[in-house]
Amino acid sequence: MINIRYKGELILLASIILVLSSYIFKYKSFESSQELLHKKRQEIVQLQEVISLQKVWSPKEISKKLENLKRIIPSKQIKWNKRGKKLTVKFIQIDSNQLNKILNKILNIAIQIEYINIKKEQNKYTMELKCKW
Amino acid sequence: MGHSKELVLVYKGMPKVSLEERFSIVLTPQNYILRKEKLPIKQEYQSKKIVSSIFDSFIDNKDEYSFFVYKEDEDWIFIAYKQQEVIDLLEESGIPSSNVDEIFFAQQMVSSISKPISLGEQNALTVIDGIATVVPKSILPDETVYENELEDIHPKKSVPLSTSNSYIDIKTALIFSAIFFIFAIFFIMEGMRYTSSSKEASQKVEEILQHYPALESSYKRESILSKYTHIDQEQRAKREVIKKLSKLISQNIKIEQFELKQNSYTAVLSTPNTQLLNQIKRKVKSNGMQISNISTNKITIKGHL
Repeated sequence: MINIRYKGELILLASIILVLSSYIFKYKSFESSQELLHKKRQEIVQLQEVISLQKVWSPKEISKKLENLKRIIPSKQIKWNKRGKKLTVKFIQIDSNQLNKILNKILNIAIQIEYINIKKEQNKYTMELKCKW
Repeated sequence: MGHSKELVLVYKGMPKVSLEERFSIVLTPQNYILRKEKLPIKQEYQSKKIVSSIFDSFIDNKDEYSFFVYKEDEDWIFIAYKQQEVIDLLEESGIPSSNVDEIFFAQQMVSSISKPISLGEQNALTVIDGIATVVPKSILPDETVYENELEDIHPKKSVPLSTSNSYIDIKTALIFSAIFFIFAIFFIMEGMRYTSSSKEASQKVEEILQHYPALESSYKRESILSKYTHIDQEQRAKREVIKKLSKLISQNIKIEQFELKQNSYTAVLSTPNTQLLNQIKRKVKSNGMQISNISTNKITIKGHL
């Protein structure tokens, strides 16, 4: 056993150093974990946002859903021009009910509306739609 | 504590001894002051409270002294000794003080001292009126037979030899250390808990990325996000305009023309009933849209997305 002067003080000093070091460890862990947690939470929010936006604006079977528009209006009243993921369509001589149905339909399909032009001629409407997806 | 350690009687002018193992020492009256008192005290803690005052007229600098109290039959024995003096004596005798476990006092062994014990050439330890006393050999009869060693009897009570100059005694230091140690454990555990909580979030990100490996790059994510946020805002605004206009249309209010472009829109509403114009105007304004022109039966609405 080594004869140490100020043994009590040394024991106390060592334990104070231990408790301070562990407190610093805790504080640093808290700081770094909060920083990391914040960063990771932001990353999760961003990922969830990207995924949900992608799901909304890049859904599958858009073409199929758009084809359903042809069922609402007789084919002779439609000028359909689809190229890849772009569609230009003109509905001719449609009544207000048909116009409403078309609008309701396209509002609920996740297409990117580029242009709409509706004109009333007497009691019938002509509607032009340009969209992509 | 089992008292199996060797007992060494230490006194001034003792020959140098070499001891490797741990042992206990017995101090002679050369190294302590003793008072034997009959006091109406029953408990030891009470005697400890008054020990300092017992030596009031005997010692000046009480801070340098340590005290030891025990009961001997009906009397209380109060002993004052200097730790530093004991350490110095041990050093002079070549005894490593770090090997000393306990200190006993010769007074504790009076019953076992039947013959004087020789303390070098000059002195002897003997018992006079029940008090262990160091006397010169010259005053003892010539035919006195001396013992050279103490009987190996360990008294019940002892004091530890404090070899440090601490202002804080070991016991107090250990109590505080234990408290600090417990705090340290808590801090370390909490620190580890924080680290693991951030790991959980990292794992969740990893899980998402496993399903969507294309989103691993943050640049790509930001680019996709910026692209779709723009689309989302623009398309929601366009749909909102169409919904608002739909609300304005009724049996008496018809849409004459509607044009929706990239950033703007124009709508012309008509009504055969001119009295409805004010109603349309109110509805348009309440929907947050702006009227650009009003004719007899038509209202033109224009706006930016």
